[in-house]
Amino acid sequence: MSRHFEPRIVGFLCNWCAYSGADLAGTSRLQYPTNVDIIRVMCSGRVDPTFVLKAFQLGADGVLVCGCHPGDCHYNEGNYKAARRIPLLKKMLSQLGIEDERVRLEWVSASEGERFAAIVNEMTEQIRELGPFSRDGGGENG
Amino acid sequence: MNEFIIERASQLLEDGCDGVIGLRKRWGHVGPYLFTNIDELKDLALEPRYPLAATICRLQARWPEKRLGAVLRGCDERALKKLEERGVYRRDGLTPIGVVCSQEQAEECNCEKPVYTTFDCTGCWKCIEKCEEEAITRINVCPIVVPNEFDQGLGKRKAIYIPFAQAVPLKYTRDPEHCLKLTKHLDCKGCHNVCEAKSVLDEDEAIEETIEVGAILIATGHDFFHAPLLPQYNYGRFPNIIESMEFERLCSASGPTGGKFVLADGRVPESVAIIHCVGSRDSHANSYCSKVCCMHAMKQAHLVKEKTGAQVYELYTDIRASGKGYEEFYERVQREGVLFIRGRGAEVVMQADQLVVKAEDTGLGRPITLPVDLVILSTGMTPRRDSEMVARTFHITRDRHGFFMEAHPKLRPFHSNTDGLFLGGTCQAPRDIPDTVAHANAAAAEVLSLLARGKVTIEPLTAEIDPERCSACLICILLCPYQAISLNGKGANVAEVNEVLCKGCGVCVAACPTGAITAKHFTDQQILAQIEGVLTT
Amino acid sequence: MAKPKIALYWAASCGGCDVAVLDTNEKLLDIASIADIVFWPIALDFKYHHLEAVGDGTIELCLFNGAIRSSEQEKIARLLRAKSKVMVAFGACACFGGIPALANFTNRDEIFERAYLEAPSNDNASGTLPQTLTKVNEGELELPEFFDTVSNLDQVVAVEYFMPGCPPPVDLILKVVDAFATGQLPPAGSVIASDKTLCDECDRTKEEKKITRIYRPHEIIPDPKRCLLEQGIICCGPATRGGCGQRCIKANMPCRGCFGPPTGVIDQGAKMLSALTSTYEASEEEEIARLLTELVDPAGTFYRFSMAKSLLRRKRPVPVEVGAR
Repeated sequence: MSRHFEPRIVGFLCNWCAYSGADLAGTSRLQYPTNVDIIRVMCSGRVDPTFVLKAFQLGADGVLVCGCHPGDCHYNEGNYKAARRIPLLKKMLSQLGIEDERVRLEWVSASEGERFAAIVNEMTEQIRELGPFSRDGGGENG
Repeated sequence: MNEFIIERASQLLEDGCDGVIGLRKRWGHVGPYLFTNIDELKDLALEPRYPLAATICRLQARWPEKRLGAVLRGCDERALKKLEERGVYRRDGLTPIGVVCSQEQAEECNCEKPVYTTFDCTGCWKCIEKCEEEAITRINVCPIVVPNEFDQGLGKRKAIYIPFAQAVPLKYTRDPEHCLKLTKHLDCKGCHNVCEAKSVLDEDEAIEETIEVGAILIATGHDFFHAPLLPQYNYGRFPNIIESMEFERLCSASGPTGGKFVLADGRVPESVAIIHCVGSRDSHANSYCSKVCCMHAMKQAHLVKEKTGAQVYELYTDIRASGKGYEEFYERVQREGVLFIRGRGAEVVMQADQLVVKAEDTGLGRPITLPVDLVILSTGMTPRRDSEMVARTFHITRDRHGFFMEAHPKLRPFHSNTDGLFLGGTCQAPRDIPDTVAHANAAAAEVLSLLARGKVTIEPLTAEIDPERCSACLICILLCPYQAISLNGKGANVAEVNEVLCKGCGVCVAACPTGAITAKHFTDQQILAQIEGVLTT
Repeated sequence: MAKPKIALYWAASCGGCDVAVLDTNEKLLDIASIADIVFWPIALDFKYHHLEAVGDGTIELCLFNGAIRSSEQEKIARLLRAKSKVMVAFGACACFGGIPALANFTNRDEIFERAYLEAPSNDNASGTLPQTLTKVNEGELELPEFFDTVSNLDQVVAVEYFMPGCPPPVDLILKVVDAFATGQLPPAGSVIASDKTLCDECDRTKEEKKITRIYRPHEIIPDPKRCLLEQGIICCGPATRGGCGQRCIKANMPCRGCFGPPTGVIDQGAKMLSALTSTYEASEEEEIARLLTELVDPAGTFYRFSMAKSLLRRKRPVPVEVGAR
């Protein structure tokens, strides 16, 4: 696939851990790609699979969901719900022809700025390899 | 009564007695028998009476070096006493287990001597006055003796006891695991009979009460690192390797040795090594620093010097002496002659009956060996063994080390993430006494302030259920970690969110298959608009 | 006074919706007496040119069932829209795509390959495939174009009312006819069914939504009094609009979602997936892996009737290299 394509990735980050971790990546002046657009939610358990589908419908090439590490959720168990929803959503998406790498669930704590940057880096490159989500008008009557 | 005797006899056999003399039914009648096997003890009989004194003397004459136990009734003991006077019997070769005859047996024997049974004793103590031999003492009449937890197992206590001298309330309490009455072994009335306040209850059962409270303060404390987990220190394998808490009890005036700091065999030590960071700052144990051990290790070194004048080595990693007067104490202890060696104690071994500590002296840049009489392991602070159960009961999150997690490490160290639940002291993190007092006091103040306010401010990020849409599928109810959702059974059966309990995580919103729940300020529409916004620019 | 005109049409359909209309039994005669049916391919012999001859906007009510997957169906849909005052998307297929929309997991080429070449009962050695235009001696023959993607009716034309169901139950059909006859129509855009989901209607006992294992309907015999989801059988009732009279539930079978998503849910499959996984008890990796093996076909299960209306609509087309067939 074209190397000049810039993936557009939507990231859903939980307020307490992942978003703070991303913040830390910023204040630590870590270099990482700008391909992820971050949307803050209070908990990774808030992420409705509908959001992921909407993102793909509107042209996202990938979706990243980040929450607190299991056991550390600010609301006790929200991340466990995400841990169940996202894998099954990925299975369903694979039936819809969407590659496994396009949706990623990661645990990032508030102190893991470097980890967040690494994840964004890795995911951007992976999706660059995979190519854009929609191809040449595909997805409609044709 | 029988089970109790069998237990005591089993204990004697386990402890190394060569045999226990008792009665056993064989060939149709009860006769003396030397029990050498614990399995045989189930056949132990207590009645009818068979005089054992002669049997015991014969056994003693035959095997003078053997250690024996015997199940003896009062008349046996009186007989043995007379035989001892005549030189036929040796008291120190025998460990007696006393039994009491039943009323029927006493009547059959026409026994004229008083029978002392703790069950019926009224505690008038007239017998003490009458006894010319002064053979009866007014002791705590509890017959059970177990290791004392407060003394770290080094001392003993009864099954009715005061846990420690500073206990609040300073009252005796019965141990439900060992008390004969509470474990239903025996209707023992020992303590009941002597209590002048008549406050020992005959029937004592746990009562469950439900109390409604407005705030909860968790101050459940901590535990210590379990030294056997680091086998290189050989704790428990060789004598004179002790944990820091054991040292505290040994040198306490109210401890098992009355404050005399001695080795296991009673000698006064001439050299002591204190190893810091046992189980702390260790990738094989706990990675955190336990904060208090450097200072208490120094205190212990000071006490050793004071009590025994022994040579003290402190093997440390870094010295953490950051409180008021702490650094100055460190200097004082050094001046007292305690040797501080920078290097973690690596191993404690036994070489020809001598304890040797192996370590690296980073100052000298080479390994060293220290032959010492005693090693104190400064074990680190850990969360309590039952903290998982407590956390689950109260919905407290635990951090990666198992301590209860604070709401914010800097700004809210005594709040938990649940409103109204506060954390005080070492259950949240290792800390010393002044810090614990400050921390717990702050939590208490917060509780008072919360209760005095009469009103609670809550975040507006709550969830709301539209009763027109909710179909009472019940999917959201169990998802809420705060049990904030319940069915509103008032006629219209729909689910309802308690706004005070809801913390706004949004899990129910994402799960609701009807789309009936809205997360205020993080609505589906808002998030979908954001998605659209970032993708269509 | 001339009787009001009604039209009915079937696009990509199984015929069940028309049968449902016939199921109104003698009421059908009442309808026939108060209205003029000007077009109904299953029952009456009108041709397309008859329909074209009808004046624009003169058909009072058009009940359109079936999804749109060919150029002919699209053409007639547009024609009927021009001729009708009120279009009703009749049945699950017209409302959200229905079963035909499951073809959105594949495409025309794969379908033709299977139907005309691969299928074991074929006798097609020459490998003939349908063409839109074929020249024969007598002239030119036209076949409608077969679309890659199945659409529901309101993705092609504007629709006033939606009647979900596979097929819509008779009482709802009569309700619509009645509303029409008395002129008491709900606001345009309404779905003629309940505003709540099936759970509201279902009279099984619900205790606690905690699932430890998922069973396929043939694996256990469910207790007819307890909620099916609580017994581990996937019932799409929570994410499906109610109003069907819980027909399947009463037969001890789980709801399959034919009434489509409730108001406010834009993707039925996503919501059902979210609801199900949220209540499944799993925290460890092995437990989540088990969930994935127990749920054999999530897309087929959750999008059984609503694929065309879902957010992604269809499986992502495979990229075609330039120069390949």
